[in-house]
Amino acid sequence: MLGAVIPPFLPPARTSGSSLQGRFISLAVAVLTLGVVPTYADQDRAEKPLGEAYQALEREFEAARKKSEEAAGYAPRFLKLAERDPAAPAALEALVWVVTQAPSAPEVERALELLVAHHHASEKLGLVCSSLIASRSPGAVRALRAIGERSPHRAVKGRALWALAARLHRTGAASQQMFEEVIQTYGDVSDGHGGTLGAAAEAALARMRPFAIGATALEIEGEDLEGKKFRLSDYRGKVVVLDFWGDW
Amino acid sequence: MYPHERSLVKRMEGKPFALLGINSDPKAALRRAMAREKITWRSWWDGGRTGGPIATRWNVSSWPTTYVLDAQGVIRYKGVREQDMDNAVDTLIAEMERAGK
Repeated sequence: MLGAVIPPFLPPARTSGSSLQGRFISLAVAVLTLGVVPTYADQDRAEKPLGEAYQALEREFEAARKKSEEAAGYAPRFLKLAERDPAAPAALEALVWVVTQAPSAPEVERALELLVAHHHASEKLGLVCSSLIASRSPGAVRALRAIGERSPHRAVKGRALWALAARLHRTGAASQQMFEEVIQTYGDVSDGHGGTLGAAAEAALARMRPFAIGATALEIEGEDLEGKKFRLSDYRGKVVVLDFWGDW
Repeated sequence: MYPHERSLVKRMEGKPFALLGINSDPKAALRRAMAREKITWRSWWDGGRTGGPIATRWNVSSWPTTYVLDAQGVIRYKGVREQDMDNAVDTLIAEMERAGK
């Protein structure tokens, strides 16, 4: 979710002059998108033998990871700043920074408490909700419920409910009713990524119903009449008609 | 079903398409049906009964039941027969051809 709430960025090797926060964002994104940054991959293919390129890429990743761990160390400082006057507008910014840039840092728990206590009327909590879907913070569910109840903004309430449903779904909890409520009550609300919460919830529901249109077909594994094994996934890349039939 | 499916398979020759059956007959009956109806497409043999493992896993309780999947294995149509099945397949093939260009 981190990638969803940050501005466009430069690749990490080219950001040496940027701010620390910018650096952290770039590094975090580099980690998240590692392996799909085409310029590096193309360079590696063009210039180095594969084994060497792999080792170089691994070293580069390790360096990026270490730096991103250092960057996560900024969360306590942003939190401390906010604690000076938690109700101040700049404190809101600092607290949102903690939750959106370091969503699994231990400081998130306290940041959420302060956000709910002092800033529940802020529209910025919509961003916070999205970051909490994958956060490891134990206070995330409680905070999402509180934001949903206390925010005066329909857009924030909708994103809180959506994030709560998505988060519970990730952990295997039943959240079908919540997705349905998102569709009914907040279907037209923006999901912050150019779509609506309604469409996102519909898609989530479709994936939950294994035989619905839009769901990925379950694997089929078995034998034909001659006892030859074959699988449905052997036919990926083709349009497939499945026909459950009998000659009766 | 058979004549329509035969013509669909024939019409789709050379295209990225497969018709796959999941058959609930005993083996001897399936063998007879395939010969009699000139069935060229493959079927999984689902244990010779309607409560076979594949049908059970797929929650199938009425026959025939059909699904049309796109090239990514996503269910795009269900319960389509005859002309509707043709339209569904044509739509998905056209989608692939557009994406390939």
